Amino acid sequence: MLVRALKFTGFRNLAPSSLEPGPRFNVFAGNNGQGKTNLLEALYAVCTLRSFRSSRLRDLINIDGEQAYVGARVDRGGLERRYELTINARSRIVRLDNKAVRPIAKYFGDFNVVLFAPEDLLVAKGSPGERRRFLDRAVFTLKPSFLAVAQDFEKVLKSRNVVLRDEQLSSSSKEEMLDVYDQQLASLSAQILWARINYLKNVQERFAGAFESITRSGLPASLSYEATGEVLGVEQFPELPSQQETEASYLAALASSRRADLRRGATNVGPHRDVLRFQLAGQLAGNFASQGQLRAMILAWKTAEMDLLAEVHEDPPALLLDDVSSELDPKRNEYLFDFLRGRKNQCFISTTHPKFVLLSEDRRDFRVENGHIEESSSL
Amino acid sequence: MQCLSRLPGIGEKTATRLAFHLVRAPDSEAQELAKALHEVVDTIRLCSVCLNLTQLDPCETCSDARRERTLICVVASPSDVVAIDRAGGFRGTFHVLHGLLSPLEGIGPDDLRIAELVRRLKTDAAGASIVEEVIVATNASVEGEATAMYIARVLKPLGVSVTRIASGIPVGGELEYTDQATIARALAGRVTL
Ligand SMILES: Nc1ncnc2c1ncn2[C@@H]1O[C@H](COP(=O)(O)OP(=O)(O)OP(=O)(O)O)[C@@H](O)[C@H]1O
Ligand SMILES: [Mg+2]
Ligand SMILES: [Zn+2]
Repeated sequence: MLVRALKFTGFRNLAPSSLEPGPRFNVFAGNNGQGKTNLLEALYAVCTLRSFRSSRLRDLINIDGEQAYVGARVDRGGLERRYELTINARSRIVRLDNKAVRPIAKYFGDFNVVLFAPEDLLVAKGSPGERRRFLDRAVFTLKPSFLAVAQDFEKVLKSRNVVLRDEQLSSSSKEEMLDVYDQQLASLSAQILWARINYLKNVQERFAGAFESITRSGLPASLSYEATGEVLGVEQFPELPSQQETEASYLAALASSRRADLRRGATNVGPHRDVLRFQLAGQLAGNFASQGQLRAMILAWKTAEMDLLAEVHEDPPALLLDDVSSELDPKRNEYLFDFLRGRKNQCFISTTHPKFVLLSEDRRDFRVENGHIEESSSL
Repeated sequence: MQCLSRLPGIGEKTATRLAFHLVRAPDSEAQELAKALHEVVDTIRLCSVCLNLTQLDPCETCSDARRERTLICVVASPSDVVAIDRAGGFRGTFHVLHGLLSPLEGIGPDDLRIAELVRRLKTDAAGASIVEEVIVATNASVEGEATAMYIARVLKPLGVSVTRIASGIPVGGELEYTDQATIARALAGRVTL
């Protein structure tokens, strides 16, 4: 899959422009605050219809403007398609090949990107919430329909919490409503748990293999996932019972925690409390691994994420690397570019200095200055 | 123009077009429209049986002797009644909730016309209900599903059968914008809650 052209207007600080990236390495260099991340964000947004650093699309509109537009021409196996996203203050317009897309799921699947941002590098040591979001983003990239499930889950969870805290409701209405939300939550929780565990099962071997080839340390890296409420007691991903059984377990767990939930005014059982762990030699990576090893773990994860996507879609995704080199030591940096040279992915790499990018062939250089992007004659 | 664009389904562009049309049209057209609007606002009320919008009480549907009183279709809004009737094939009566359960927006069971529905099932001449089946035709969004499940729970002790339209209505989709064949199929393929 290749992004042949990218066009944007009114997007953050970027000057209206079109760009024809090369098939392999596209390096965007510029000082801090010039628009490098914004450019990667534009590409990510037209692909996923989301931003990776803001929960509201309207933040992407230039502060002096009313509308942002990003269009991408994407080549997959010789077939070109046109993906377009227009963002207004209160709405978004999505078009594929000049037509409205309904259902929106049809937009996803052929155009895939994997993002590798500096914030991700510390995720193995971050809060449980950060690790869940990191995992969910990967699941969503592979399986776009997961987004709707996750959004419904958030909504039902918040609704249940509002009902738990509501002092106006009669106690019989309250119990009836909790029964309703327990049922919805159990079903959505089971779907989320299934999607996450299946993803982890698919990714874990690739992850362990990639970690070894990046660090060459002989220390095994692994993942573990723990579900709350002893719904399953998932350790090292045993075979899951059927989704129906999982749903029934959640329903029972929610029922038995209702009294406690009412006291605390919050729901204590569900995938929003689950824990994903990165382990090194069987130890919790956050306490045990060095900075470099933690970073290598995330690199290994992203590698696995990419390979999995490439396999499922029979096509390598585009890779967005946001200023990653400045976070890695020279050795890890070398491994990273070795790794990239060994794959076929089209890459969009941002950096504060082109010399950080240890690539000499198949490379196109662009200069980013105050929102203007110009192709420069390489180094 | 601002007045016009506040109406549902009318954006700025349409509002501008309507305003231009009215400016160019003979005076009588604008006056007629104003009079009609006035009349509607003055005479429209909720049907005391089904709570749909009506000028007569009970509404045409509720007083239509050919309609089956044993069957009630519960919908979120008056526009859903129009959509289902347009699809044809439904011979029962309606009940309009005027909303969906949504704790996040502060809409609880007491804000919907659920108590009226319960009363409708209980109070028939001898205190027994002639209603045999209640079909909940809310959309497939989280709120639509929650509302359907809640109603099923509340009605169960009354001994009436509660069913749900088959999915097929797009998730979060409005009945109003769903094609007629889909609505008819969804009604035919209903399942017990
Ligand atoms: N909605 C917006 N409208 C206009 N400008 C914006 C908007 N959002 C962000 N900016 C500006 O865009 C500029 C560039 O941001 P960006 O994150 O792309 O920088 P960068 O080149 O990645 O820098 P760094 O090397 O520090 O990561 C910032 O100065 C920011 O103030
Ligand atoms: Mg940046
Ligand atoms: Zn009526």
